[in-house]
Amino acid sequence: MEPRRVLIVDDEVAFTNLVKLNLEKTGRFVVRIVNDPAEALAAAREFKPEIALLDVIMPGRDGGQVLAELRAAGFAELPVIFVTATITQRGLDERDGQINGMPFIAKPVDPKKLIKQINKELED
Amino acid sequence: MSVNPFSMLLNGPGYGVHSLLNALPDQVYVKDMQSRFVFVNTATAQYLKRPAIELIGKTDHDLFPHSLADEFLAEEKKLLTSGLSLVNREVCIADPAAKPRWELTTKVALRDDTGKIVGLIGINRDITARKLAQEQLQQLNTDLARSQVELLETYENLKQTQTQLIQSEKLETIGRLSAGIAHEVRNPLATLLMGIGFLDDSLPPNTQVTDVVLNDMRDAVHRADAIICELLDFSSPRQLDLSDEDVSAVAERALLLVRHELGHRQIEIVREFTPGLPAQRVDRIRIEQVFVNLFINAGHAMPEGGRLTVRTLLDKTGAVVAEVCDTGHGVAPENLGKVFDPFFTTKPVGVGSGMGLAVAKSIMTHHGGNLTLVNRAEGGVCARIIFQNKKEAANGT
Repeated sequence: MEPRRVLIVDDEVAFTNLVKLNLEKTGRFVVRIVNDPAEALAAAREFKPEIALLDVIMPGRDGGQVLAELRAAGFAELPVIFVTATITQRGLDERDGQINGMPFIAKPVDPKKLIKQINKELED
Repeated sequence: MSVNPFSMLLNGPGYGVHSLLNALPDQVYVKDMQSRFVFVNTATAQYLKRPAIELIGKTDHDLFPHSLADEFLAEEKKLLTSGLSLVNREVCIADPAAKPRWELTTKVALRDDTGKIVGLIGINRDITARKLAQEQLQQLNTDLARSQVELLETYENLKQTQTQLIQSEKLETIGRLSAGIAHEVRNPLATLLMGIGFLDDSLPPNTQVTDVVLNDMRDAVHRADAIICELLDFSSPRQLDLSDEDVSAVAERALLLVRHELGHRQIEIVREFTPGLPAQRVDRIRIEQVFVNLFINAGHAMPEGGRLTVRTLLDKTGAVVAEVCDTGHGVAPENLGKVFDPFFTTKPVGVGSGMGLAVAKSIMTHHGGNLTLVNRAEGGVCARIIFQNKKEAANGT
């Protein structure tokens, strides 16, 4: 089975590198890292991701703006998970893991949990 | 027949005395043994609004309301019999037809040459103005005392408001800081956790030591994250999910949540729940958290075991109250004022974040209630969870 293409947009370089290592080690994913949110759209056009992991607070533009750009540029159906340090797990649990209908993951997150969530979104 | 004892005043060579008496502003009069006027000076005549000559031979019954006249005549009769003077007595002349008038009255027995009482001489001074001034002064004093009490109350309210302001300003600052801290600290934590997860899968299996090291690292990340999360939850309390709840039942559920925590500490749990308390409109999960935090604190305060009493009751103002009391080491008096401050803790590192009571208090405040903590005389502390008093809230007090 072809590995699934995961785009990660996050300004935390070390975090994105380790997410890539953890995901690709399973052999089920191939990850494209974008650390500058301004480059997200170009990278998406080229990489054609099947799912995107978006940080919320980034310099220049936030995760919501990146998503709006992607949606406007033809990625209307692209599954997205927001990965953010600004919400607590308890806060998320109370909202069934969603904010405004979008799935969220609270940082720090265990790689196994992240993979589980990615698989879930890809299945849906 | 003896010489008329009044002749000196009325006719005699003492005309000078007569005119002297008429010049006085005080009322001066002489009465015989039957309390009939035999002499009145000008001031008396003016007060009684009749010519002096018409007053001669009259008694108080002809001039004053009946009951008042009876009173005057009774005291004069006593004086005329005993000879005992009435000096400087304050009398209120409550004539229904006029404004009340205060008089300072002196009545002295009048004797003839042989010492026999033949009548009395009276002097009345109008002291109404002084009396009124006195009353006004008294009223002013009362008003002053009342405004002093009000001033003290205002001062106390102001002090309380100031404390609340400082507290809410503190919270606001913590809120602003914690969002920044959360972002700056949890991102590196996320990197660490990803790294730990990667190593866990990459290292050769069956190396017990690395397993321990990796688990310790993972725990450390989660502990650091837990503190940040408590800070975030504390500073940005979400909207309350309100429902009608029985406080005793909420306390019971919270006890269930901490049974392991308390179970291995030899702590005896005593329930004193008052049945039939009015249901409280609360966020059950949040109130459970308040109880859990208090139970865990009680557990920490009794490392050698002890008794945890959970009580629910209706206080005398009609508010539902829950008490959580332990038999532990209590709180040092100098720390009582700080226990609700975020991050205040006397526990060793890793045992408590110092957020438990701050979070619990914040939750109660958001419910319109309160949380207080006192040392018990017999040792240990008693926390009082006070729910919003609906009656008082409705009255706006």
